[in-house]
Amino acid sequence: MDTELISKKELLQEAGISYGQLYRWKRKGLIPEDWFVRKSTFTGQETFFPRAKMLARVERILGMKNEDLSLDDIADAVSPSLADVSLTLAEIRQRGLFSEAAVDAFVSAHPGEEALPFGGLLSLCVLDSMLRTGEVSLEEGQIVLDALDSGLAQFENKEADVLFVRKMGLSTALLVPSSAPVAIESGARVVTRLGVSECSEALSARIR
Amino acid sequence: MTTSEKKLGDVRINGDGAVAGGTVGNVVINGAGSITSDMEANALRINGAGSADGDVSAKTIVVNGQGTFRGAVHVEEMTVNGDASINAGLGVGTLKATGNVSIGGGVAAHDIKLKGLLRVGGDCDAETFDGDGAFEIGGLFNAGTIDLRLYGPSKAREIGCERITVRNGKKIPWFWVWTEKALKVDTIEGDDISLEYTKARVVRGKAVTVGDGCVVDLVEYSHSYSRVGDAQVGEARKIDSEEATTDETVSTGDELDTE
Repeated sequence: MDTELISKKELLQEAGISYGQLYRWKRKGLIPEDWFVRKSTFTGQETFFPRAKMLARVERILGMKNEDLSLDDIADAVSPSLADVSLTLAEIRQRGLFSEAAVDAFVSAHPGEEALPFGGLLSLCVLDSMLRTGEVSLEEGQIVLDALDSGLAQFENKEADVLFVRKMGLSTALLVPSSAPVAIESGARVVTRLGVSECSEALSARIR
Repeated sequence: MTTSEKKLGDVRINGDGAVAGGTVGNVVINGAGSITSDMEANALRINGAGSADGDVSAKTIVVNGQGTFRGAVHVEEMTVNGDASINAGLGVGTLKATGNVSIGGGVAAHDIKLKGLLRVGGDCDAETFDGDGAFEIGGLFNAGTIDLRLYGPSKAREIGCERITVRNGKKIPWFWVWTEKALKVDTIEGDDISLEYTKARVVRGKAVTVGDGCVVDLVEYSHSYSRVGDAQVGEARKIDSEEATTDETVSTGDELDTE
C-alpha cells in the first residue's frame, strides 16, 4: 500500500479545489475520516492525506460532479451501503463478476452456501483480486478467506488492508488497519497488500 | 404524523417522577423527571428539570429549564431555553438554543441558531451556524457558513468552512460578565473569511479580511486580502491556485507589515 502523503495545501493546488469544497466533502462523508492525518511540522500541526487514494478520490468526485450528480449521490457511490445486497452463486457465475477459480475456491471453503450477502461478496472480491496478482496460489487463497471470515467483522467501520506474508515456503494472511504501518522480520516478505475498501468500491461499481 | 399510525402512549410527569424509556408518543415533564433507559419518542418537552439516562431519539425536543442527557441524542428539531447538556454525541437537524448547550461528544447538525454559549467536546459539523454569544469547540468546527457575533471568549481547535464572518457583538448588559471578547483558534481555512477580534496562528482562504482586534501570525490567500483597522498580521502570503486569478486585489488599511 502506498503510504506516501500529500499535504492539504499541495492537494488543493494539484486538484484545483478550494478549502470550502474540501470541508464540504468531508461533512458529506465523501472523504473518510481516517484519511485526515494530522502531523506536526515545523510550522505547527498540519493535515496530510494518503496521496494516491486522495487524488483518485478527488478526481472521481469532480468527475461525478461533471455528470451533475448531487453530493449525496456521490457519497452513496464512494461509500456504498450495500448491506442488503445478496447474489446467488448462479448469478455470480453467470455475470462473470469474478474468476471461476476464485468462485470455486470460495465454494470449497463455504460448502452449501447458495446466496452470498455483501460480506461474502466482499471476501470473494478480495480473494479474486489476490489471485489475480499471480502472487497467491489457490491453496493460499483459503488462508486469505479464513483470515477474512474470522477478522473482517472487527473492521466494521474502519478501513482494513489484507496482508499476505510468506517466509520460506510458509504463508499466512493478516488483516490490519489501513493507516497502520507494518514491520516484519527480514526473512519474511509481504507478498501483497490490498485495501478492502477499494475492493468494496470496485465491487459496488461492478454489481450496479 | 398521520392518524393511521399506531397510537403510541403519551407520558406525563407532573411534580417529581421517573419513568422507563421505550417507544412512546409525546413526553412532557413538568417539574422534575427522569427517564431511566433508552427512549424513542415523538416529542419530548421538559419544563423544569429533566434527565435521560439512555440514548434519546425524537422528532422534537424542547427544553425550558434544564435538560441532562447522559447518552446520545438524535433529534430533528431541538429547542433549548436554559441549559442542556449531552454527555455523548448530538445529531440534530435544527438546533435553536438560548442559554447554554454543552455536548461531550461530537455534533452533526444541519442548522444551529445560538444565543448564548455552545460547548462541544469533539468535532462540530453544521451547514449553517448563526450565533450571538460564544462557542468552545474541542476539535474541528466544519461548517458551510459561520456567522458569529462575539459576546465572550470563544475557541476552537480548527475551523474549516466555506464562509465565516466574526464580528464584535453589541453590548448587552447580560453578557458583561465575560470580560475578554475574542475567538482563539489555531487554524481557519475557508473560501470567504472576514474576521474581527480573532487570534489565530494561520488563516488560509480565497478572500481574507482581517479586521479590528485581530492577531494573526500568518495569512495565506489565493485571491484577495485586506487588513483593516488595528489588525496585527505577522505575514501575508499570496498562494497561487489553479483557478483563474484575474480579479485579484490586495488592499490594506495601511502598510502591510511583513515580518
